[in-house]
Amino acid sequence: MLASAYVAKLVLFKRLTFKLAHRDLKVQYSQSMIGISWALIQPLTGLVLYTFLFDTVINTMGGNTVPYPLFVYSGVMHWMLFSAIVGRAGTALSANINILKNWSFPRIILPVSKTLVCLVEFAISLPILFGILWFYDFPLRWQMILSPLFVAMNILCALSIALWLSALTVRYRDFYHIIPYLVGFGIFVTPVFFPSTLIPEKYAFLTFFNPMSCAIEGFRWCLHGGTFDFIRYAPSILITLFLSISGLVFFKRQELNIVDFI
Amino acid sequence: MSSPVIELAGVSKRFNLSSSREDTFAGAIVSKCSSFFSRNKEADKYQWALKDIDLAVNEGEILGIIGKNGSGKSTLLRILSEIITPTSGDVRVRGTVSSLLDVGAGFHPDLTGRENVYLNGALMGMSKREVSLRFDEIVDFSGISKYIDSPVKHYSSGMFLRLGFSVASHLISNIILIDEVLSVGDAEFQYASLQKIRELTSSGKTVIIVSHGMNSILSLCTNALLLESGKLVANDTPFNIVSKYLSGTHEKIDEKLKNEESREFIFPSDPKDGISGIILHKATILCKTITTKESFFTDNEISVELSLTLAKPLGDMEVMIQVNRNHESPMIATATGLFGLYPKVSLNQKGSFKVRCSFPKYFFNKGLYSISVCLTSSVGFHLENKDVLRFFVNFPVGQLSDFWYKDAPFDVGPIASWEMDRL
Repeated sequence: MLASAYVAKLVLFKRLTFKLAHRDLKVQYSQSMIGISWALIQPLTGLVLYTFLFDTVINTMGGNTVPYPLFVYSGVMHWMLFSAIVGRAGTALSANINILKNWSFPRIILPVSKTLVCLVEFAISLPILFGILWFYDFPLRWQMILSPLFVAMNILCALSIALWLSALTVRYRDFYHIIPYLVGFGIFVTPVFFPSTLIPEKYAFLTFFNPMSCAIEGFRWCLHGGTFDFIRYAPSILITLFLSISGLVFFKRQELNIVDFI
Repeated sequence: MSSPVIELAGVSKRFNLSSSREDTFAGAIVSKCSSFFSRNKEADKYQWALKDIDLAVNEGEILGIIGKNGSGKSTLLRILSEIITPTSGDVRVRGTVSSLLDVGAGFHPDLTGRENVYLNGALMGMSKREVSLRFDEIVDFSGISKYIDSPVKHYSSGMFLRLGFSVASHLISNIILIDEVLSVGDAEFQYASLQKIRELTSSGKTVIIVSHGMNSILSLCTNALLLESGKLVANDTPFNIVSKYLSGTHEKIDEKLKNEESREFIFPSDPKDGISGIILHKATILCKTITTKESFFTDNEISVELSLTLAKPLGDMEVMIQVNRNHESPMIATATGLFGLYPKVSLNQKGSFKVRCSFPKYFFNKGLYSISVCLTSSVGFHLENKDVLRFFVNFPVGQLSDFWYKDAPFDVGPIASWEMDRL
């Protein structure tokens, strides 16, 4: 199919994207007692637990000037967004076999709508961040305007991994196991609980290849300053671009044959 | 004639019969390597679900697709609705397609009927407004307005079908595909949906329907296809296609019995079949006015002739013939002993007999009939043979008003004695 025809089809089905996201949110929260506030409980628990563990028990930050709750929350928020997108958008196809087998629509709508659901939950966790900023009396900085850029980088990176995974899991079931692996171990090779400055010099270059490091450290830089070197993070930006273009191309190629395998 | 809304040229679909080993990436690599070394035949791994289908469907047509399980009917529908992509060939569809391929497909159990209607609309690429405009009509037709605001997980499969069919038939799309789902509905809804399908086509929509119900194919469709293991065997009038399909099963029986005349059934004098020494040799349909072997017109007099041998006397025997229409429950039964109308020869001694039962003109309505034979005596059943004969009956062209025969919902349409007076 021509690219323009594909885009036209996407436009025709744009409502489906929102409708499916709406459906997921509704189904997820309508039958729970406290509804959407579940989306608050998880980051809050993370905030309290990680602060206790990595600040009170193990004094990770030492003499850093940034209060640890603020530091860890911006990291946790990002990691939760990343893992939610990879986990849900990455299984979006195999979780919707019934719809795939009976309806024809651009398949990319499924992972994208799952991403929207994750974004809504991300938005719900934002007020906690503002609360922390307010609590510690942080001044507004012009760099804060740039923070959405780093969220976008997170989304782009997670969604492109999800595109790869969702197309692959339909064909080969074992790719499903990559998801908990990626999400579970990834958090420790990404500066979520600690700043990348704590990494010994000879390993430090590795962080610059990690798109999530870039997203989190950049986001923190927007909020409370510190060191952030755009140039050194160039590899991770290139990796993200490569992942997203290849993910899109791969998904698009697999799209036509997805139903054959389910 | 308008140009076709659907055109298929040389469409084939190949499915990969991958073993479960190949469902994992590691397994796939292993099997790739092993097939490289062992030079497995590639052909074993694939199955052609469809092979070289050429087809053109015109606007306003109701096309029926008939075929055995696994003949590629559903694959064809899924290709037309762009759910699966053909391996080769060209598909051209003019307009939008809505489909009803599975009961309750795309319905989320936790959402209400109302929400699911909108979700279904979105799955077809409709805007909220487009669905809203037709919402009342959809609910009205489905007849489940009482339950529209309760979650569909409480629905029965019939209710799913009602809502699903309602949505598919009311939304804006000029081609509607229906896959063997209408049979889930009750008689009332089936009738309503058949009416709806006709209404749709008269407003210029095109319907393609897969069905095993020969009755609905015969009464509804303007055209029909016969698929056999992925190949398009014939594209003809519904009547000819239904005949062909069912005579296909005939031929198989005949082959087994090694009968020279396709219409006659000779049962082997195997003791298993000839219980208590009764053998039904032959069952034939006789018709004076027509030479065809298996299709007749309503204005033909049709007789059923049975040849049987009694190896020993079994008391007063009766021969009963049971007539079934369109694979449904028995329509009528008639027996030699009924109402004291014994034939001249009694079946109370050994020997060979010929038994003939004649039906008057206009006795059979349009449809597919099958005949079962049963021999009984005061002791009980002695022989029961199901579907000894099968034949079709159609209306003589132009002779009778098609109007009230069209749905052919009644089993017989005999001529009664009518009188008319002007007052």
